[in-house]
Amino acid sequence: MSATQPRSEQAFVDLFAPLVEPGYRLACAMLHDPQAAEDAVQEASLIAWRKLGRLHDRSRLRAWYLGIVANECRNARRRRWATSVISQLPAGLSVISSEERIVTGTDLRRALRQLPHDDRLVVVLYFYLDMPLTEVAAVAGGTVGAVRARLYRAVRRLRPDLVIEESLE
Amino acid sequence: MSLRAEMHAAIDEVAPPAPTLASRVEAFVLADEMDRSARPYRGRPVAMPFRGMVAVLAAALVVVLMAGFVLSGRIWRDWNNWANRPTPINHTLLKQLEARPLSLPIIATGAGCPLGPLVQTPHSSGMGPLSYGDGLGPVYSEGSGQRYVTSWGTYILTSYVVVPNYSGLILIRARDLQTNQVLVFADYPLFDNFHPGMPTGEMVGTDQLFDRPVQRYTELAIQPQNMFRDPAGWWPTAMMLQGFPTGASGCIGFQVDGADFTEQFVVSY
Repeated sequence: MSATQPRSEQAFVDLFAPLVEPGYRLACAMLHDPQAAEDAVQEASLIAWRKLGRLHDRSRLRAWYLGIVANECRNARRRRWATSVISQLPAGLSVISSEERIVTGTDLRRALRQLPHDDRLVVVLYFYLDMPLTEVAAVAGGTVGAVRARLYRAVRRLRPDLVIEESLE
Repeated sequence: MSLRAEMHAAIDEVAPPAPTLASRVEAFVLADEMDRSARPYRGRPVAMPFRGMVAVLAAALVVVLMAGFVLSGRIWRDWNNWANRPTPINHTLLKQLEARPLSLPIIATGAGCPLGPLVQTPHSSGMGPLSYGDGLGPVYSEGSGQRYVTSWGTYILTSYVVVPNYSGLILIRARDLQTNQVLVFADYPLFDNFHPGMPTGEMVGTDQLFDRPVQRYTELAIQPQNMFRDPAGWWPTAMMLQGFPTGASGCIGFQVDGADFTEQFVVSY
């Protein structure tokens, strides 16, 4: 199907229905807000549907779609930051404070929020969506080497005392 | 626990299952698609393909309007000049009036100046209800009080007023009654292109007033048709310069000639 071909409900289901769930998970991981994540996925799906004709390599559909979701998450965070007070980490609380510290889910999410958008994106794509580096690179934009370097750097900032067990292959 | 496992656990806490999300997204997107299909030109300016043509037409319209303004301005100016063109002087009649001899008296040095006659002019003459005019009509003279002194002599800004029922050519000549020097006439230089009267006769010199040249003539010809007419109905008025050289007594005798009258009066400046 191209941009000039008639679009149908079935076409949308065939192309995007399988992508909505990973898109939602990505948005949740980026925003930590289910409602905002649903909104981001909805907007991203609309954009993708409208611009589908520009995508010539359908094998890249998943990466392309998740890239749009990631961009919508960036925009959502900008909008949210512009209209609300940023919740700062309390003084003395840091995910790098102690090796013996039990890192809870809340702490990890806080640490994730402290990462720059691009760093957080590669971490989420790789560790949460379990995507290979090649696809992470396709979503985030860049080479595999650059993504690997960004991933190491992000993990070091996230958990400086952590021994990275994954091979990052 | 690996970071990957921790990540799953941490994010799954804020990512509840959304089993209906796919269908809601599908409905949202397809509803937008249907809405756009129902309005195929939504967001697309209909005039876009014609934008260039419209721009050219607009530019052409501006050019036409500007040309129209210029052209109409010229037409208006030409028409205005034509409509307000001075009535040509009847030179035959002028010659006849010039041929009339001056019959102004000569008075001895030190003798009194025989002023008059002086009449109170009606308000509608244009000289004001309390003004006085020299002469008995149909032409009256009134100095404005404006005097300009140069190395040559003295110029006085003077108004000549003609009764409204007179329309013929009028010739004005004047002499200093003691020195017999000619009183000269000139256009008032600040009037620029307005010439309510025509200095005529012989040009006897030039001068400078208001940094503009002034040409002195020995006679003044006026026609009511070419004089200033106030919309309020004032009588035809011509404001001109008249002057006498240094050394003149300032006792000036005037002779005003029309086709069917001759009028004399004496003014002391």
